[in-house]
Amino acid sequence: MKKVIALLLSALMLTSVFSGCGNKEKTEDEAKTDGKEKVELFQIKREAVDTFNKMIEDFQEENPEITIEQNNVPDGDKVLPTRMASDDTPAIFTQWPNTAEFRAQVKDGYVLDLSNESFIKNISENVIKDSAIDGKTYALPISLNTMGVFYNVKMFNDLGIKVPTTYGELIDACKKIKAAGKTPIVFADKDAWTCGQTMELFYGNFMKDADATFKDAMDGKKHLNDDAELKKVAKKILELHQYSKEDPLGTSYDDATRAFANEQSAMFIQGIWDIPSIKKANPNLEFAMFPMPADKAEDTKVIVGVDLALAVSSNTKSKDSALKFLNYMADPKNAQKYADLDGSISAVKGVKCQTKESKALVDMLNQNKTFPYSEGNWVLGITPDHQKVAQNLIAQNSVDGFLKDMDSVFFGKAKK
Amino acid sequence: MMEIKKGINSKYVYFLFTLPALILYSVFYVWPVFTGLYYSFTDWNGLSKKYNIIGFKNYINILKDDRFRNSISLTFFYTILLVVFVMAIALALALLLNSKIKHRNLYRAIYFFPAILSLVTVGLIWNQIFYSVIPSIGKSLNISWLSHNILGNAKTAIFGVLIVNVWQGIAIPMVIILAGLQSVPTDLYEAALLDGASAWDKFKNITFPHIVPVLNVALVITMKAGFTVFDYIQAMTGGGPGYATESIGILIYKHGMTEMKFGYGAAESFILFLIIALISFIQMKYLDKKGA
Repeated sequence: MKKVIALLLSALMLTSVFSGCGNKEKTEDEAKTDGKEKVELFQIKREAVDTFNKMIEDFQEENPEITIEQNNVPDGDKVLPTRMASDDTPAIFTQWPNTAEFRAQVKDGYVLDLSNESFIKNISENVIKDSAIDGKTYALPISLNTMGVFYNVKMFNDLGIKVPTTYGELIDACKKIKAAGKTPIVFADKDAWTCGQTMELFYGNFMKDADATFKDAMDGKKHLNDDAELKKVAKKILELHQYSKEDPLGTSYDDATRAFANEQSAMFIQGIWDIPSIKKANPNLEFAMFPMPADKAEDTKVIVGVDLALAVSSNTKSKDSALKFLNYMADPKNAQKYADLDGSISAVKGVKCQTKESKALVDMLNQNKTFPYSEGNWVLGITPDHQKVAQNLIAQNSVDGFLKDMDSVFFGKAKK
Repeated sequence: MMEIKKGINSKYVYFLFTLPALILYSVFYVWPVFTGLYYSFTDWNGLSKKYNIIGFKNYINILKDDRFRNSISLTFFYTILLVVFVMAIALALALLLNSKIKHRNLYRAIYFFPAILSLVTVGLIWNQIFYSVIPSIGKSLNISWLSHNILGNAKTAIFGVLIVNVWQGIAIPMVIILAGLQSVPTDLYEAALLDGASAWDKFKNITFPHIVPVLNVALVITMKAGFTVFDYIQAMTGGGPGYATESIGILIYKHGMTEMKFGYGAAESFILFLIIALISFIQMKYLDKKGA
């Protein structure tokens, strides 16, 4: 008798080990039997979760036979490649299309080619052109983002400061704010990605042709050790840090957002994606944005990139339903709703951005005074290294050290 | 019962009992070791279907890599400090909590409490303590080094992580040592009392020799925690500022998962494995002698 029990117990333990693997197929079967098709949407932007939930609700009302399941996990952009590598690519996923990571995923054949889908025509041609990979479209751009300088309108008015149009005026404004006993700028340097993006914002405004510089370095043609323009950028970053709220490297993105929202600083260099969080942290704050000014007012441009794009797995069983959802999201009427909820700039033609805080940046965008994020052209693996280098510049306070680090990150990386 | 003992098949039943653990261990520990070893000889980026076998190139590059060397020395430095602080504080607390004090059980519960909190929660809470609580205390007392977020300074960030790790890490060794203390025969203390031994004499000649085995266990646990430190750093500094708190665990994760150098990361973890194996070997040899 005991023998039998022992055997049974062992068998039970064994089956419980493998039950985890079996579960999934079951749900897929179930999904088909009750007539509804479940489609996974792997969503990597945590700020957009609520917005997507609302969009999905409306979509499902129109398409009751499809259930879209949004899945947002921490560090989604790192989970996605591991799911692809283990042959478990989500049916629909959101991606940043101008990254080396996405290009690698396309190259390895994990992503469906969307070039010939009719809904692509709804998207502005420039955006499609900029996010194309080998001339083809693999991701449906939904929204665009840009970065600039958030400022506290009331604080500026009280101190009689005009919105800076040149870098010199920005420094003057910093001096005035500091003299008034207030903190000019808050930096979120504890999160290395903000350091990297601020850097990229500066490359476009203070370098003549940043892309050519990086390309030459990656091709192994030119070292960055004593690049005069990069040196200038590094010096400006450090100069602005003299007006920073104390402990920039101890301040995270969330801490900085709260600090700016609670009027602990007059300015905050960040992307428009932070607008909803600032409003949430202090609904009464009167704030707006201005473009990061270049040395001369006429040289000022704004950085622009695709914020969020939808892509479809190349080997999903639910291809038709997935495309239906993409078609729904690219419809101008729905895109307007998404833009209003998200506060972002839409990539869909004819959709207006009704967020007043980012108006100055959107105006520049409409005049085509833009430049793309440099990282779009970087080789796989450089972007995270670059973020560390940017953070290290502030930690070590050394321009020469920064140039040396930059060279070791970029030089010769495209050859291999 | 008798029937099983006499039966021919009893061996198989016992074997079957070990089978679940054996399979689990093989699937989740042994097998990944071999696949990891295999990938460490490739240039796989963690995503591609195609990759090349490149022999020992990863290993050669790692030995030339400053970042890897820095993280090795940081990890050793961190482990030594962690072991010293955790062992000293855990031993002191265990001795205190073993003596006859009021509300002894309450204190035991309080000092054990950090161990039951989730690591990430602890990291987030301490992040806020370092960001806003400690600097404001420092400012009001006019102590300059306390007025800044110590996680935000490349020189001090590692100590911030260490404080939290010690705070949470002493609980388990403390309990182990406490259990060891309770197994020390009380008649020895009575005899020592009659001989007029001082408190230090009693500790040195009775308590300490009796708890050496549990101290060894606590030491091994703490050392392992130090060498593989990852979660505290990930939750509190992410390896920053700059490269200031990049332990080997963090570096392997960064290379493998974010910088898309999976083969390189696998090779690094293999080197870490060799280092830990060597240290464990020395430790076991030495402790064996002591134990006998």
